[in-house]
Amino acid sequence: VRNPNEEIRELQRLRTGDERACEAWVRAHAGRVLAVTRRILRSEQDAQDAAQLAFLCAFRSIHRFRGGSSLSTWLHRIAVNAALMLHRAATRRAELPLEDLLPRFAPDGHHAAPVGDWSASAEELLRRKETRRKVREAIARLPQRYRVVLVLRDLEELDTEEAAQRLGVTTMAVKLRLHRARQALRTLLAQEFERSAA
Amino acid sequence: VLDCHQVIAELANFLDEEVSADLRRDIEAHVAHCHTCEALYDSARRTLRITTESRTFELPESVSGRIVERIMARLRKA
Repeated sequence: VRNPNEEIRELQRLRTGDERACEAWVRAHAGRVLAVTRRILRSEQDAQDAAQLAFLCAFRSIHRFRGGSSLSTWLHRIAVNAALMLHRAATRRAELPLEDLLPRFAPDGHHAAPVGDWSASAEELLRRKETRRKVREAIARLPQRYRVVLVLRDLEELDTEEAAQRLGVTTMAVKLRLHRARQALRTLLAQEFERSAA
Repeated sequence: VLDCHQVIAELANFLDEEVSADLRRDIEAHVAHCHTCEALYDSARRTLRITTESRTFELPESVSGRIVERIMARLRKA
């Protein structure tokens, strides 16, 4: 936990455009900002462009920062916005159908196919080195409009209303896409984690 | 009585604790007797947990080093 006085001093140096302070700040936060933009954008180039854009926006508006949150929380919001700006351009591309990854039901409302159990608990899965990589790869395979909702809600921890506002869609659309995205992600991970496919 | 399709349609709301007490009770009653819904619910809960936890990944230093240089070059020009 940082001392509030340290943050005030850092803010003053950033506002005066002190190059060494700016570089140190970019260096300290670049990894986290790029991690945010990468989660939202599929292309590495777009993610890096969004990270650059986020820092440029941050330096341009730092004189308006009022300290209602910590500097890093403020920067996180800017990074999400920058990534969403580029995301809107990217979503115009064709998308993969999600239907194949959703559970299927018979006309009587029962499951059309059996679902296997996962033998390992979440804790056990998280202890495995490869789990985080598999999760990231599975998220990357989701169609963009579903992936971005899942990332905003479950990874960036925006609430439904905030995610809807940022994406310019209704809260109902966010809920529906989140529901479908989580189910599709579960299906993709089930291929890795189910005890048996039967 | 809820069928499997209705239970799974409410899964995201159930995981986010955004269902009424009555609906929660009905879902829990269904899941207690339906192995397939139980397996789906259980794995969905684990998926959510490991997804949330997977956020904390670090970038290789070389990548963040390059991006810092690029950002600083843009800032000097701006």
